Amino acid sequence: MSGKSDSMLSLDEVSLSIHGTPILHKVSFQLAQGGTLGVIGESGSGKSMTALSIMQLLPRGSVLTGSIRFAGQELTGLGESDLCKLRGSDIGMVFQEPMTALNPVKSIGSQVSESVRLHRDVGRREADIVAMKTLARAGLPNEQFPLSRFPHELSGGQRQRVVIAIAIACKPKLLIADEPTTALDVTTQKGILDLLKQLQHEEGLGLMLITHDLAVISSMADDIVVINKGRIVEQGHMASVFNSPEKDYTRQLFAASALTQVRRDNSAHLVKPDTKPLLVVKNLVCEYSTGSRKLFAAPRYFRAIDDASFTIHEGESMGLVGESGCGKSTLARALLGLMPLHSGSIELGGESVSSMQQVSRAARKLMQIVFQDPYGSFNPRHKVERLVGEPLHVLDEKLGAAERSRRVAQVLTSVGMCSEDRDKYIHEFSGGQRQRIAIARSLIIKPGIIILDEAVSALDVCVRAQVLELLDELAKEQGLAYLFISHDLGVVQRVTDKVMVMRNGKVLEHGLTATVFAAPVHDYTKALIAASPVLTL
Amino acid sequence: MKWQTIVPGAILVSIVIVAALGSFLWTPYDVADLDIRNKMQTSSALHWLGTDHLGRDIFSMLMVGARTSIAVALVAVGIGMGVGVPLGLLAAARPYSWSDELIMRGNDLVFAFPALLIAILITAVFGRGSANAIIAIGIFNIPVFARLTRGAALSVWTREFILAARVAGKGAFRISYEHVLPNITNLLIVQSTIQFSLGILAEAGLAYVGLGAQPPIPSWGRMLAESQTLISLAPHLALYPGLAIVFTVLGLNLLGDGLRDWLDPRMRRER
Amino acid sequence: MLGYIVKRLGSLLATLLVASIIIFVVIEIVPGDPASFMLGLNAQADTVVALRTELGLDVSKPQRYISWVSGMLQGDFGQSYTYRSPVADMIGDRLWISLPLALYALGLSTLIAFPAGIWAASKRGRATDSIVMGFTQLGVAIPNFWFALILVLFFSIKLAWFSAGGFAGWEQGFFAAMKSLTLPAIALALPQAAILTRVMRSSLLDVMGEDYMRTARAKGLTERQALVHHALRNALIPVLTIIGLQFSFLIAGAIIIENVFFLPGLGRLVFQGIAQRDLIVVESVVMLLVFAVVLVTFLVDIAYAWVDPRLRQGRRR
Repeated sequence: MSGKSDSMLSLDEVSLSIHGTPILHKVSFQLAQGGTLGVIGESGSGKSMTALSIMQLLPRGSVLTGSIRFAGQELTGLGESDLCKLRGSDIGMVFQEPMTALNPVKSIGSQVSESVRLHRDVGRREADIVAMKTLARAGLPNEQFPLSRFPHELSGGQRQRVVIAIAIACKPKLLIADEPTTALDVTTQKGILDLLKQLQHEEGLGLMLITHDLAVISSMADDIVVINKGRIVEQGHMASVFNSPEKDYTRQLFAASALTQVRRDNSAHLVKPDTKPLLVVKNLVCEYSTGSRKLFAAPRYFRAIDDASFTIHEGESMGLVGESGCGKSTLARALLGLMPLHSGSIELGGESVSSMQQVSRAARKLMQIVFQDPYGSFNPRHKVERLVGEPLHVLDEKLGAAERSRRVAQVLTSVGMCSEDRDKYIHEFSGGQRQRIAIARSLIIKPGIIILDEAVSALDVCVRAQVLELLDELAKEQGLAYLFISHDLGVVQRVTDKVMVMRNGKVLEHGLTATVFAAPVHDYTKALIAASPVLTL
Repeated sequence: MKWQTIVPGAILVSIVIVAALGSFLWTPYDVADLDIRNKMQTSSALHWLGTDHLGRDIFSMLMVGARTSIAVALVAVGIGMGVGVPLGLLAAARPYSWSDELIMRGNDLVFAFPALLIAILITAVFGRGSANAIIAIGIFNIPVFARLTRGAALSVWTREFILAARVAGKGAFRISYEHVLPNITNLLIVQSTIQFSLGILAEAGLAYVGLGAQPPIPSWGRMLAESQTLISLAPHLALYPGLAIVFTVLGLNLLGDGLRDWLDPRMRRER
Repeated sequence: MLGYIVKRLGSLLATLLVASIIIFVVIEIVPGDPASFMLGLNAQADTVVALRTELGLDVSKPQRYISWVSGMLQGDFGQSYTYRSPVADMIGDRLWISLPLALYALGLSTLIAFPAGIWAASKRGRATDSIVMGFTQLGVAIPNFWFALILVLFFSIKLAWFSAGGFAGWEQGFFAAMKSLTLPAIALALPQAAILTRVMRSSLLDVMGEDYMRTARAKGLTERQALVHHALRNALIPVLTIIGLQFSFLIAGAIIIENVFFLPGLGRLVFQGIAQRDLIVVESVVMLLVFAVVLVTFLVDIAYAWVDPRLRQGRRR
């Protein structure tokens, strides 16, 4: 790594506490001119706070010690007005949530040119010209995206490009990007990462890329810093840390990202001739109306699911991939009878059903679901016993309180929790524990298929690996089948036997996972696979 | 911050409630006692807050008047919640359907009539009195609670645990009762203290213009009306009833604010 | 934008229509026979009959409703039974008192509330904030008619700066007239200002926590610049809602305040109408007041779309 003297940014023993709670402890690292530094850590590790510390945009009650040098200047202790001069012109920052990062009532042009007028002594017209050029460089050509556009007229990826334009408008030397693509689709993510690389190349920008996604870092960074609980665990050149990690935590992190623990053997899977098909979907179409544009015109319909057909056998793990809006969650809901079916049929355990009511009654005894958000999927006011026992409502026989309690305890232990946990409230548990409880909830009526709707997407890498291991074990013990919905191709590749690719409601490609990933047929599948950052060097 | 508001608020409110309930058992003087010889006196050992233009003891009148204010405001809130909350839940359970549209349009309609105008209409036709004041204020409370409930319930409906309940086969009615209502209770509690305090103000206003409780039932608002012509001679007649109103409303508002601060962070901690 | 305006206009007309029907039903139908109601229990039979013909009560109810509405649209509000003069004239005179009063109060309250709310928000958590919040707590708890009495006690009786009531009349000149409206306007404005201050403050605080404020600071804007250029406009949106809602309370308050200051405005007219059982007057004034409230709501909705470009396309939020 380059020595301290020629680095553009160097942090030395930076410690941060907010209202007395220690957040960062003696963090030190450097970033060379024009280099890319990847900062990787799980949620709560302090990586975002490190970025905010550099910009000195910390919340009230923050106490910062240590030294932060940028281009030879010491930033700590600098007055607010001097800092304001640096921010936006020498150091630019891009944040995680593009949907809320822009002022909704101001046009994109005014937000970019504001940056210019702030730091350069130019008039409005000149600033607008610079704004137009910058937006074009960020991948938003002026014909389609004039300065007068408003943020709500743009998609997430486009908004992120505007944020990048704002950050680079004054040609800064350093760009800090805090999880810039986490909230975006895979293909959009690739576009943004390519843009960042390109800008770096053209301008000689230093880039500090903060993320939890190791695959993204491996494709972008020269040097890497691993941070955990506010401390730097390990740092160095990308290659050396990757090939020979020194610390246990780093090893653990890499292993979890590569999902080496998951033992699903999908390479040799073949449907045995006597395996029953549990779920057969034929030509399913689901629509919903989007209201009428004009006052008296007929309402328009949107095809959320367009002629979908597939089969899931006993014990099989079927993956469903696609980008946001492709219809994967809608499909899950249609299978559970939460959405009306327009046409087509669903055969569950031999019974064919075609209306929403019929589907729901049949479906719920056979299929259960685990949702994405471990925080939102439980009623905060109920105890765990009541939450986990809720699906028992589906059973025909009414169970007494003692029996319910017993079953809840049993299913909790099967997911690695204790039976005493049923008397607690859900807020007493962490994200990973909640997902285990969610899995317990889905197991309690002994279903044949569990739908996992992005069930591990919101979890930290290490926790995710543990939950996937759990799912693996349960499948082996109880012969469960899974419908594994995810946008994360890496995970799907590891965890499923077969896979379906969806786009705009249509199933574009399906087949054995190994086959589809090795030799994709459809162009879109090829694009998806190409866009997914892969954990290699 | 929250203890600074809940505690004083609770204290103020308790004092008023104790005075109101206590007035059933004892007041320094009977409010029907007229003592013309001692009229318009200021505070003294015999009459702690003085006497009015008919010689009645002001302190006793305030205690009994508290009953009227609290009763009217309380029943009005009851009407508002009893009708408004179920309407709001119904609207949220079937959003954008015809029942939802109907309820929302109905709300807008009632909002177009200021509470006072409703009271004027009702009293013009049906006559004056506490009952009509209660109805008027109560009618105005209904859309307040309906709108609040609908908004809060809608955001609860979008949460995933509702989906989990639907997957378990529960219907909209059951879900509204088991899952939605418990999660909006905090909001409702805070709003009811606000509506209660607004009810006290509204009752005072109605009584002031003669549309509230009729004589001989004492009412703070009417005491103020009666004091108006004599204000230069006996300012205390206008001062004390007004202070009683301020006292009560302030207490309720502080309580409501404190409750909001207390109940909210607990919900936030649950994340 | 046009589609949005048209929709809102349609909503306005629909509300007015239903409101008028309700008013009509309550006033003309519920008490039974309006004529005997107006004349009271001791009226003689032939007087009642004469009045019925005069009021046009012998035609059917729907017909009466239509002639009432069409009359109003042409500016004919009927004849007051008590004063035997066109209600429209009576309303006209009173309107020029009630309307300026309401606007005066609205102006005062906004003038106080905006700076106070912004100031409190920018000094959040510190002494200034607590003091401002303390004042607003008090302001909200004070009944405006009581505050009016106190103002009269102080400024009219003790200090004699203002008269204790009555209206100087526009013929005396703009300033004289406004002077007699000043104490009433202040009394009305107080609770409004308190509420608006709180709303402005909390709206600003909400906005200051939004992500785009962080983007603004990262650009290099100072806290103050970020507040003025980014926060304010967004914070205005909820404040506008409250102003609209509060308008109906303002009208109700004005009616009461007119009583305190003996102002011959619409409020007095309504009360006199009730006291004299002059249903025609009551009917018309109530309709007018409802119209004012609905109109203001409509204007607020339009102002929304001007402030928030997301609403201009009429998308569902």
